[in-house]
Amino acid sequence: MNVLPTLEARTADRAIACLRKAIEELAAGRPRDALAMVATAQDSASALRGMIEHLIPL
Amino acid sequence: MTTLNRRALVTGAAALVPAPALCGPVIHPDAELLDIGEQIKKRLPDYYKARQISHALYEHTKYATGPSLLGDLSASEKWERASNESGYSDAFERANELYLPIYELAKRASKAPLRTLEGTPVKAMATLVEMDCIDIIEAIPAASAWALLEIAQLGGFAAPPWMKRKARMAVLP
Repeated sequence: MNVLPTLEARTADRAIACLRKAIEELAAGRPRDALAMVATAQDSASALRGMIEHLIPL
Repeated sequence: MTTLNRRALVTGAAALVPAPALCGPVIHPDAELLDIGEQIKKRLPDYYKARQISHALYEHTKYATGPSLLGDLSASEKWERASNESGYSDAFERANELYLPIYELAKRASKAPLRTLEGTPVKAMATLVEMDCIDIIEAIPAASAWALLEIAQLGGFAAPPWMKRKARMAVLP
């Protein structure tokens, strides 16, 4: 199926990639870089949680 | 038959067919991801249980054998024998057997494109599994892994029971 990702999905993809990179940096023994990646991901991850919570029926 | 008549016939025939049949089945853009996610969800509880048993037997074996010296051949032989006797070896293998299909599913999920938000928790869980973070998540001193776990939990993925801390973390205020 060739469906273009939604804008939210692209944001989510970027946030997850950023969090993944943070773990990779940590595993590579570079905690400073890991922290920087987490900081970068912070805003998009917060937004992501809000967006996903809206999807969940209460 | 005139054009007008043919068109009227086609329109009339279409009206007799229910709308969903005309459109075909509705497939979610993230159907593949969501399906993989469901498969992972089903497999996680058994894996968690097996890993807990394996870990408990590891602790038991470690206590029974006492401290060992690095490079001490007799110590490693002693450990191997004790592991077999305690059942730790088998339990470890069993947990790994249950983990392998989850890991393969996670690899597939990581490669699958994310098209909607609904697939995001699957991507988050897949990332944690693929990076082998599940077993040591409690020990990872980074909010990143917890953020991924929290996103996964929003999609109904169970957190590992050895995760004592609340998954809500600093990165997601």
